Amino acid sequence: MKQKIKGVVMEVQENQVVLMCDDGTFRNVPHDQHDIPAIGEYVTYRVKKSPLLLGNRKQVLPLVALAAILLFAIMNVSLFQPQQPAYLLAVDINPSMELSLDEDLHVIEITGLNEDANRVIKDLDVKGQGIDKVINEIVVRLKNDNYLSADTPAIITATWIELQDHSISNNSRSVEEIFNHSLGENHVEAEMEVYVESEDYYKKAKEVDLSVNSYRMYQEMSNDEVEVDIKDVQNKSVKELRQIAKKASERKNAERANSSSSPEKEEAAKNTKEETENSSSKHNSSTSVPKKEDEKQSEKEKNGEENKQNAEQAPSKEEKHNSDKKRTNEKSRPEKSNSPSNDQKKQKKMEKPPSNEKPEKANPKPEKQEQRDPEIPKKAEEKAADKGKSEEKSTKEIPKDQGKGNDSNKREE
Amino acid sequence: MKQEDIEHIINEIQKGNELRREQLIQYYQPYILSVVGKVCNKFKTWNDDEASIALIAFNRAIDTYDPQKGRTFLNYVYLIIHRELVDFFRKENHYQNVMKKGDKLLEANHVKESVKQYHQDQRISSIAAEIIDLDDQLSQFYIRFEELEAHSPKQKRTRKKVLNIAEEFIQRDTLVEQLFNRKQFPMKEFLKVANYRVKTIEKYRKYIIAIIIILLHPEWKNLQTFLRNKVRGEKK
Repeated sequence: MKQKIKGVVMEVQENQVVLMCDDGTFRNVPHDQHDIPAIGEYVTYRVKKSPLLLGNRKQVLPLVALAAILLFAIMNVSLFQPQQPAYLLAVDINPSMELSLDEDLHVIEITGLNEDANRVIKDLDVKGQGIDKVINEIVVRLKNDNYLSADTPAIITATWIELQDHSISNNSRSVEEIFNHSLGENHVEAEMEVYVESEDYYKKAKEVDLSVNSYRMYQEMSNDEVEVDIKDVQNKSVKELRQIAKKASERKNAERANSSSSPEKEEAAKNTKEETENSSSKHNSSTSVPKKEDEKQSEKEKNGEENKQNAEQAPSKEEKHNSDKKRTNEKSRPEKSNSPSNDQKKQKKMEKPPSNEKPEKANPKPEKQEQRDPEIPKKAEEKAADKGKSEEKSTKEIPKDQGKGNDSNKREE
Repeated sequence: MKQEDIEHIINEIQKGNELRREQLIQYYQPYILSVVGKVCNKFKTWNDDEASIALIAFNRAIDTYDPQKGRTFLNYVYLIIHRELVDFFRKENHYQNVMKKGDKLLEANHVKESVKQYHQDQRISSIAAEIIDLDDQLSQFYIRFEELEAHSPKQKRTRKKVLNIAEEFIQRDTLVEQLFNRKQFPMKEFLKVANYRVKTIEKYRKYIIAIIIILLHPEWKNLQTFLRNKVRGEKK
């Protein structure tokens, strides 16, 4: 649209002339570069009417402001969405904590679930950092606070929870790798367990006010027909729960062995356990690089720790059936610890547990072992191997134990 | 500045008042530049050769102006500057550019045409004189023409209202006196005697000052017609 502007030239400037129009108002009009009027001339200009650009600024400003506000609002919506956590990583060592992560695996928030954890993550600035950095930082801190160390392997349980409908990626795998990497860098040994869970599972755990990992322990225990009060569980860390579970299962095993309980019942119990394990799609793996030997070793380490725990509990237990064997077991330990290298010591320790449990288990539960196999292939294989040996020897006394230790040593060599 | 004033000042300058000469040049600066732009068909700044030549020409025009020959001063200035610039273009081989202008001038040779041309020139130069005067007055209030667009009323109704404000204002001599003494709009005093909203006056303040100045100079017939046009237009 064009508009005619008539007026007297009041002033000539580089890009425009100021006209006084017939009605007495003033107009600034861009002029033709090749026809400059003189002051006082009466001229007519045709001007394109584009109110946005040629109109005065007072009209443009509110429009620009409005556009800016709209833009800001839109940006806000899109900016805040990724701030919602997409994943949750619950880590239990002894300090248990939860990391909420966005889609790009940047940490949004870190919450400690017990006092230990709060102490560790205190003044830890994680917001927006990559998960690998944060995990490494946590591992360093844990090491400094002696939750992790080189000679007493800890168990790290991590649960990967998908909060939104993301296709399950290899994230759980990579979490494990990240942990392994930082553990290796810090020369710390630990056993890793990584699970993947849905959001529902997390919610259930939250309902009973438990961390995801202790909720799993609780479930396993209750499936094992161990009677646990949920309130007790709430106050205990994963480590303690593990001990309780061990204790309980041992006690049961012992009972079974003694009373030669019906295999059907046991099988039923086992089946339920399997179910829970299936539901939680367990990955079990070792800390170190998956070479066969290393795996074995870590497996043994785990066993060793379990054994240690058993040993600790032993005196307090005072159960008549077991007490004898355990004492002998304890006696046997110092002898072994004389062996020169640290590694060997560990191995021997590790070899103990089978001696403790398996001789009793071995006879009544050959089937059981087979059933377990598909779920936990590596572990089961090794255990089976161990058991096989123990069965070969088919003795319940210490000499067998020693023999096994020797066996494993030979194997390692 | 009335015709007599200009003649008087030029007379003084021709007798040797250099200070007056400076003032006069300063006063006509915008006009000189606009003439340069007009003749060159291109906007020129004071940095251009043409502007310097025009300034020298203007200086000579002051020395040679003779009111007895029947030309207004501005008309004479325009003539001199135009001639000087054409000379300059010829020297610089810009001849062809300027020929068009020359043709135009030659065409106007017929008597009727030339009389018409003469009247038009007279009119233009008288308006120009008024505008230069207005510019000079407004500069005291630090108002430039280019600002006035933003402060002009856009609607007929507001235009009328603003004109009423201005007319009411000039009827009170004390207010006018205050305006020129303080060089700013005596808002408080004016609001005491007239019932207008501060916001309205503040919005159009610069424009109001401009038309007050125009209304206070009845000798600016051409500019007056613009404002009177407006009043008439509204009455229709």
